[in-house]
Amino acid sequence: MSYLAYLIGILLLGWASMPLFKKDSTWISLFMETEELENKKQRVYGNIADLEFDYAMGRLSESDFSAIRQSFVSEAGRVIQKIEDQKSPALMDRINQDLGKLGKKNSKQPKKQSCLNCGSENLPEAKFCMKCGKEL
Amino acid sequence: MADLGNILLFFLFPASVFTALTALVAGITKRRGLLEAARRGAYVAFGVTTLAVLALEYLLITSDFSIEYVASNTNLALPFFYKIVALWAGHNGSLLLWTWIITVFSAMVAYQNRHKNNDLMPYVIFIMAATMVFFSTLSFFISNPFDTLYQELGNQLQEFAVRDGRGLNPLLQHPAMVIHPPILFIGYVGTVVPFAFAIAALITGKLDSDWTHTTRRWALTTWGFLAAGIVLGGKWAYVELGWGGYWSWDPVENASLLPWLTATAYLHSVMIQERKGMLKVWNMSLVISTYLLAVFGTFLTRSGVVSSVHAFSNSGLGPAFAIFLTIATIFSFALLLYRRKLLKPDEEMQSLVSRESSFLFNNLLFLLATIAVLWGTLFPAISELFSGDQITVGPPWFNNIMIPIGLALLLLTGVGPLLAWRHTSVETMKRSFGWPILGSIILVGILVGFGIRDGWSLGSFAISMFVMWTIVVEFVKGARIRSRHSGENLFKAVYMLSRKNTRRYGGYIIHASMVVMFIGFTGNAFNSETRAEVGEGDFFNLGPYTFTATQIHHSENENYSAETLELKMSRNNRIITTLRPEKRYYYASEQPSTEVDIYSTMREDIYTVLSGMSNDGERVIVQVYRNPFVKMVWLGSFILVFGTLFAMLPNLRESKTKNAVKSAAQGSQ
Repeated sequence: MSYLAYLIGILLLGWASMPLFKKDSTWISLFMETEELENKKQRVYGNIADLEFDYAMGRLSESDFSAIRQSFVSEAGRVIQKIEDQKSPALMDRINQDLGKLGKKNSKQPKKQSCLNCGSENLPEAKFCMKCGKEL
Repeated sequence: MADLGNILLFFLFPASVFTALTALVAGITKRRGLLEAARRGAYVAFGVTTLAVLALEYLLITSDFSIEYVASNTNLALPFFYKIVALWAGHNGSLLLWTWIITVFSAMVAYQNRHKNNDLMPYVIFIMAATMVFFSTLSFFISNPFDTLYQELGNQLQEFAVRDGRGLNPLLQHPAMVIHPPILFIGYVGTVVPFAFAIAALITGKLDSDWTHTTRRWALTTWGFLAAGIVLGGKWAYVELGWGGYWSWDPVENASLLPWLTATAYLHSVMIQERKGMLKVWNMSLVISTYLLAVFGTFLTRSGVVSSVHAFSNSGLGPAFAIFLTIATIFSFALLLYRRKLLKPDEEMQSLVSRESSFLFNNLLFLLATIAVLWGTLFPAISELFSGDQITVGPPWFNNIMIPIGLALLLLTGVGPLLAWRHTSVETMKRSFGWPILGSIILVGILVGFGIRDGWSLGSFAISMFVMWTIVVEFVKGARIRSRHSGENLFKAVYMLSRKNTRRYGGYIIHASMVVMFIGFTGNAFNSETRAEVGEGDFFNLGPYTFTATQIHHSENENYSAETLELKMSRNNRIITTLRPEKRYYYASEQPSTEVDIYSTMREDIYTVLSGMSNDGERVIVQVYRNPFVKMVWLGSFILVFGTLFAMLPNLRESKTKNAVKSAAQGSQ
């Protein structure tokens, strides 16, 4: 009986440790600002829904209702603006432009030099012409 | 079979250590393989513990009296059913049950989140596995239920078996025994899940509302089980202990109340976090405290620190628990302190008269209640430390403090939901509160007219009336607005309204259940009792009732012998019922036990106890209690469970609903 118990225990532990010996990969944890903004937006919407419910149930006066609602709506507006700003075409264009410039800067190659004797193009770092052998 | 169980239980230790380590490393390295291994580790822990529990059940059912636990908690004549539940009758077995429930929850959480919360899960599993390591150590090395009986033969220890066991404690031979301990344990152990997520959020710094969303159902379930467990404990004490009441502020009762108080506070304040982004540190502290208090409750019952009718005798686990609690407390609060900057509130409180502030008052009151109960429970131990004597604070002390706090909380359940978020003006308050207040005043007038003068009771009835009124108005008003726009009839509208926001309306149902229970508690102020020595044919009175002893008879079965009194209860010469209180003597445990008989109506309970025999055996001493409204407590607990289940239903999705509410808002503009 006790052998059976040892067998069960060891087999189960073996099964649990199997993933340790497999080819492994890692996950990347992303901390997204947009996600946080999205949560915030949902929260403001929830607040507005609650407020409307409270008003419908007669828990606050009309002036309070419209004032508070206005403040929530503008808060929602601010949050949405932030989200939109992050995805606006103008911003994207600018980012692409910047990236483009960055790309060019990186790929900008020093000028090739041409041989004064025969006119053929040579690599910038060359000291002698590939074709005629004259010093550059 | 004992070997099998013992070895499997042993394997829980390496399995939980393996799980904790792989989970921790998975969290640091973010490697999928490690997380998968940790998850499997949790399943394995569950598997081996389940098999160990089954092995112990087998030993109990087959009455293997070479096992100390089986011999101490069962006997041959014990009904089959009680042999099964004897698993949680003793200290070692119930500790195994505790351990098993943790492994069940760990496996469930690991499985539920296998495709999500990758960042949190390693630490969640780590925390749960760390708790498992602790309990597996206790369960295997210190309080092992598979220990065999030994006797000294010369210089050698030899295993032996007794012919018959000592039997189950007679107090435990009651149907509530089947469900009360497991339900309470589920409540206790369940607190580890929100705790694990909270700590994981603190460790990873992912402190947005993800963890509260993920654990919402767990927190609510745990809370419901704790509440149900507490009430069942009360019911058990009421019918089994035979002193006429259901709650005596006993340390073990208090121990179950403490985590419930903080959990209730949390369920309320978490709503502010979700709506306003406030109270984040506070909510964390509540979740942590709830877990610590749950462990503390387990510690209290098993350490011999305080004496109680329910407590297991000093089991030698005290130091182990004290160390675990200290480490957990320091670790959690240090982590909280470390992350306090990330837990800044998004908004500030704007008005003293608002839903937010009512939640805040609610939390302050719950905190006060927790501190008071904790202080009163620990006072014997504290006084022993300083004066050398255990000074116990009795029920009057608790009642003096807890009745005002309880009533204030009850009042808040009526006031809070009627206040709007952010700000409520005096004008709207008059409109919301006018009628309910008037209703309560009229009720008080009527009650005074009937001769009730007790201030606390009048206050309690008035507040109950007020709260019930506001709750009914909530449902009716909401349904009216809904039916105006959807064309549904009122009943359909109430149903649809509550199904589309189960959390809000489930909450109201629970509030209503509290009112019903408070009416039951208030009944205590009007209890009366009498005691009489009667022979066959004698009679006595209590209130309007006459009790006549018609017969005293003796009976026997293989488990116990019993004396039964037949007591005819009548009013104005009209027979109402016959009550049969019993005194039993259990052979195996050599213990007496009283079996009360109760005539229960919504108005009152007539509770009879056969407390003893006269010396000649011809006459018996009978005690009769008249307890008003006790049934309301049990009824309230059913409503509470219903409300909890209702709050857990997913919201009915319906696009029209939002529009209906919107147009309602616009319509009344």
